[in-house]
Amino acid sequence: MGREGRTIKIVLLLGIIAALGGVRTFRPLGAVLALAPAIDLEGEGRTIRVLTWNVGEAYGGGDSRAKDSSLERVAQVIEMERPDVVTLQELAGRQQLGSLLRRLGGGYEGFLEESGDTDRHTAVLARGSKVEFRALETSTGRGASAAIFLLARSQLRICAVSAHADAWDPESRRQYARELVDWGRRQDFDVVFLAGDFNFASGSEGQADSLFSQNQATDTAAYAYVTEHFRDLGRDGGETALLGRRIDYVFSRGGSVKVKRVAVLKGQRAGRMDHNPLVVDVLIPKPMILTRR
Amino acid sequence: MGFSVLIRTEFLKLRRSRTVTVGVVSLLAFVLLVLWGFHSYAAQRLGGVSIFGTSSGEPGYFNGLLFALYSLYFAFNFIMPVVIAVVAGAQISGEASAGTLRAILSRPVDRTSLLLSKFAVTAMYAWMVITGFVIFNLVLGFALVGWGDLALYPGPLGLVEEPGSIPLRDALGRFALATLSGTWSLMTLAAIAFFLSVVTRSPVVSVTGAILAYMVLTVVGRVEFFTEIKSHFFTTDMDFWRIVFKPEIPWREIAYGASRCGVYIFTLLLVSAVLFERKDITT
Repeated sequence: MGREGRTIKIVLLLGIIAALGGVRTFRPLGAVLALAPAIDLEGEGRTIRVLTWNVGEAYGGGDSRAKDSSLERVAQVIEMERPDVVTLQELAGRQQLGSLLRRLGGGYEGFLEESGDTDRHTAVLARGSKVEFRALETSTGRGASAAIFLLARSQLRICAVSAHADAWDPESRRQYARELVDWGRRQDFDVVFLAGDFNFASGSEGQADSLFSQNQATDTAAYAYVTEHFRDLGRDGGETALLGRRIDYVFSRGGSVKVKRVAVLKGQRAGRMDHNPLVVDVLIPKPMILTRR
Repeated sequence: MGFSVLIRTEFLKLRRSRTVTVGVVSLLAFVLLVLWGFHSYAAQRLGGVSIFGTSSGEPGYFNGLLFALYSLYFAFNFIMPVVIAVVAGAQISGEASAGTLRAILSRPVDRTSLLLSKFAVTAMYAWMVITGFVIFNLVLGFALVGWGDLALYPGPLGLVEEPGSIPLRDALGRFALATLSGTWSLMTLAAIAFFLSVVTRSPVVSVTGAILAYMVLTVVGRVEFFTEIKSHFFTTDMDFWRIVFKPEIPWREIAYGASRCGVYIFTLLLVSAVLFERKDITT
C-alpha cells in the first residue's frame, strides 16, 4: 500500500467520523422520514387533524378562564401539531382569540362566539379554503362556535363545532349536547365534528366519579344520545383532564371516516390548566372525496 | 501515476462509454414522456385548454418550474438511480471481466487511488447528469409551458402540508442546490454499486444487485406496513435531496440527511478500498 493510498484511507475514516458526528448533531429528523408518501393499502384519502383543548384553569384559584400568559403555550402546541381545526374552550374573550391568531402568524382563521350568557367562550380555528363561521345558540344559555370549510382540493364541506357544556348541571349538559347533536343532524355537511369539553361523567370505561356531578345517569343518557348519531373518535385516547377524567371529546358524523391517530398530549399544560389537548387524525377515504358532488 | 492523472484517464474512459450514451438518451426520452403527460394532465385540469406557449388558465401553478420539479422528482425516483448504478457498478467488475484491470494494475498504480479516482469520476458524472437534466427541463419548461413562481401543493412531492410558493428567482437557486444534494444522495447508491463491483467479478451482478436493493427498499418503504422500519433503509436517507424545495430551506434536516448518506458512502468506500487492496487480480 502506497503513501497516497494510506492518506486516502485516513481521509475516508475521518469522513466516517464526521458523518457520524453530523448524524448525532442534527438528529432527530422527522420531516425527512415523513417525506416519502406512504401507500395506504386501504385506499388513500385525505387526513384531517382536529385538536380540542379546554384552555381554562382549575377551579378554586380565582378566575378560572384562560390566562393571557397561557396563550403562548397554546400557540406552540398548535404550531407543533398543525391541526386543520382547533376547538378551544374557556377563552375570556375576542381579545384572547386575536392574540392567539397573531401568534400563529396568519396561518389560521378564527371565531369566538359571545352569544351565550357565560363569562367564558368557545372558539374555533380553521385552516382551509372558503372558511365561514357561525355562532350556535342553545336554550341552556351556552353557545358554541362552528367553522365550515372546504377540504383542501376537494368539494367536501366540513363543519367543526367547538362545544363547552356546563360543568355543574348535568341536565344542562344533556340539553346542550342534545341541541348540538340535533343541529348537526339537520345540516347538509359531508362531515361534522363536535369537539370540546362536554364534562360527561361517563362515556368511557374506568371513568372516575366526577367531582362536578352526582348524576351519572343523566350524563350516561346524554353520552348515549350523542353516540347514537355521532362517533366518539377519541375513545382510545384515555383521560384528558386532571383526576383521571375523560371529559373532552371529538365526535364525528358523516361518511366512513377512519381514525388514524388519537393522542392526549400530556405535559403541555401551562399555569393552572387542568385539561390536556386531545388530537385526532381522521382519514376521509378517497372514494368519499371522489364521489361526493 | 498521480491521482489527477488517474482521474483524467478515468474521465476519458467514461466519456467513450456506451453506457453513458444510453443513460443520457434514456433521460432525454423520459423528459419528453413527462412533458407529454404533464401536458395532457394540465389540459384535463384546465378543461381542455392547452398550457403550451401560454400562461393562461392557472399560470401560477402549471408552469415550467413545476414541470421541471416533477420531472426531476420522477426521474430521481427510478431513472437516475439506474443510470448512476449502471456506471458505478461496472467501474471495477467491468474492467475485471474485460481483463483491462489486470493490465492497469500491472503498472505501479496505487489501488486505493485508482478506486477513489473511479468513484470521483462517477460523482462528477452524476453531478453533470443531474445538472444537465435540470437545465434541459428548465429550458424546455420555460419555452413550452411558461414562466412563473414555483407553486407547491400537498401531494406526491410531500413537501408542504398546505399550499405555498417559491418566487421564480429563488426557485432557480433551489434547483442549483438540488444538483448538489441530488449528487450526494445518488452517491449513496453509487457507493453500494461500487462495493458490489469490488466483491464480484461480474458487472451484471454488481449493477443488478445495487438496482434491486434500491428498487426493493424504495417500494417497500412506501407501503404503510413498513412505516416503522423504513427509517433504517438507505433509500429513506437518500430522499433528503428534495427538501431543498420546501418553502423554508430546512438546513438542519439537510445536514442530517447528508450525514446519514455520508456514513454509507465513506464506510462502503473504505471497506471497498481495503478489499480491493487484498484482491488477487494480477495472478
